[in-house]
Amino acid sequence: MSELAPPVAALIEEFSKLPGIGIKTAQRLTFYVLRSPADQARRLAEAILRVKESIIYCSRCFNITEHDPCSICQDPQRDRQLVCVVEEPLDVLALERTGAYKGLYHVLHGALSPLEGIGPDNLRIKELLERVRHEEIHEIVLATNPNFEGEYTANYLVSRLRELKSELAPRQLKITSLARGLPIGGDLEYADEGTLRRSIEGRLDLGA
Amino acid sequence: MHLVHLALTDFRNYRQLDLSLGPGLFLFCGENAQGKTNLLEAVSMIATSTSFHASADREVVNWYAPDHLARLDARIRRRDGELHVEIVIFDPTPPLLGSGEQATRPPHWPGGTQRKRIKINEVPRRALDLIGSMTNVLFAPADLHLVDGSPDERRRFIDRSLCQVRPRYCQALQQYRKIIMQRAALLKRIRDYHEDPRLLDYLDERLTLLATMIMFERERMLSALNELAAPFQEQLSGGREQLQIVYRPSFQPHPQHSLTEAQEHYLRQLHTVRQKEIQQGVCLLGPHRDDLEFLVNGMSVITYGSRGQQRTVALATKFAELAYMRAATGDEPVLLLDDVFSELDQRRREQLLQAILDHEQVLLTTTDASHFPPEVLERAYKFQVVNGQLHPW
Ligand SMILES: [Zn+2]
Repeated sequence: MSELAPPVAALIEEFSKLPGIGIKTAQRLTFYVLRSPADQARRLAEAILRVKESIIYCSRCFNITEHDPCSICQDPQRDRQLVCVVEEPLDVLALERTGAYKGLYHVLHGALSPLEGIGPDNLRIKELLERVRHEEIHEIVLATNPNFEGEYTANYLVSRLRELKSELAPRQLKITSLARGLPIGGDLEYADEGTLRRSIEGRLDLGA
Repeated sequence: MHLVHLALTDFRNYRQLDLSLGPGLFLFCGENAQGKTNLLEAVSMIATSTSFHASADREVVNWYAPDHLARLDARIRRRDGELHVEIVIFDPTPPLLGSGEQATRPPHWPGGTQRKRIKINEVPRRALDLIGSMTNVLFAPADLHLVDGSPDERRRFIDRSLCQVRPRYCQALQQYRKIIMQRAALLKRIRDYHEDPRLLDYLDERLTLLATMIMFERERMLSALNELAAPFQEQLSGGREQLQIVYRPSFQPHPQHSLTEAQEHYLRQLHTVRQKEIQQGVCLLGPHRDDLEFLVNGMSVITYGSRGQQRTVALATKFAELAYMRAATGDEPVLLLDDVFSELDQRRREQLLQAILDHEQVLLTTTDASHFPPEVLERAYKFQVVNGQLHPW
């Protein structure tokens, strides 16, 4: 094989654009698809299209939803003074499973990582600050992942929220974070329910 | 300490290896690309849990590994008892199948499958716990250029041994490297896309905090190394030369500072170069820019020394490293020599052989067994390395 057929080269190129996929991996994925049964490949292609067509983001909290606003934002039972900031929709799911949290959410859709070209403008940070400005929010719970990117993001949010706080005075705004006990370097979505419940119940005041 | 047994499965080009070892000199002879260095890489990985070559651990997994796993299994005899170390490395990329073959197994792995699993005496452990279980000193061709090579080489030299004797240092260094990569990327984004410079604050804080720890450990190691290297240099040079290894940190330290004062001192230095860093898009200050200088009789070896003298200094420094590891752990490190003899002249070859011959365990690779005198070959355990297989001879 001196040259790759164009469709093969095209698929390798598309795979290699995905996060965490290098050219070698892209080649292996492509050849895997090439050798897998036709209906398996079709299911993959359809699943990709369907997720783009039917899923939208909630215009308030940016969680994924089929209806805007999402069911959590619409729920009259939720405490609207409390907003928990998470990286991904899966983190919302993990916290909901604990049943210990009754506030609203704000999904950033990632964490700061200059290396991956992710800055504040690529996350829903501006939207979070707008919410704090205009909604009656009394407490922000930072629940980013306990790894470098998550800590970095939380740290940046604290400094931006502090600025905003002096602007909003005399309105009170408490900034807290999940209590430790979460495995460092891990992801929120993999934390077990008990650990997660304890950390949301014992959240720490960041004194901001 | 020494390795008693080493088994590899789908590690690089070793599909299956089962090797009994013990005290003594083990000679692995073979053409290039047959797997000599891979063998030393495996041993080194048992000591530090990471490869000295690969940028990602999964690179060591053989492409044809049916379960995408490379396995390392080692039995180590230490002064204080026996240790069983198992490392399993997982490569999540799907298989590349041979032509006409069907996928025998769907690529389904549970969500959080770990990339690396480590067991010590059958108990799961973290990578950090592995460090120090078996220490080793690696002597590769690059080490002969310790003096005249790049500063990178000299930092690698310090880090490799320090990481093995100080797990905390290893941890700090890994975190530091991540900060440097993120920070360099951020500096470029500030320059090119007017990213918020306040994003630097957290990274500067972390960078300087880790830098104080790293510099403190390096300083301490070098003062120990200095005392150990001097007698070796004297001996190798026939008593004529006094060697001094000088630590040249990138941050200007202040001798009287406590650790917190030092961090603030470095933060100030960082602030003065901030504009320059943004312009250039690189991290200009910090332990990743540290260097060493070698002085013989007070004169810089790189400026005034001959090539031969530079080699002698490199040898003396490596011997000192061996002694340092011994002193720091109270046990003999396993000595790995990767094809260094071909790069040395006859006299230094003999000096090196003399120094290693009575060491507890030496694993040595070479393309040419004729570098070794018959009496050495006679007492060595010899293997021919051919395409990922070992044949005793
Ligand atoms: Zn919503």
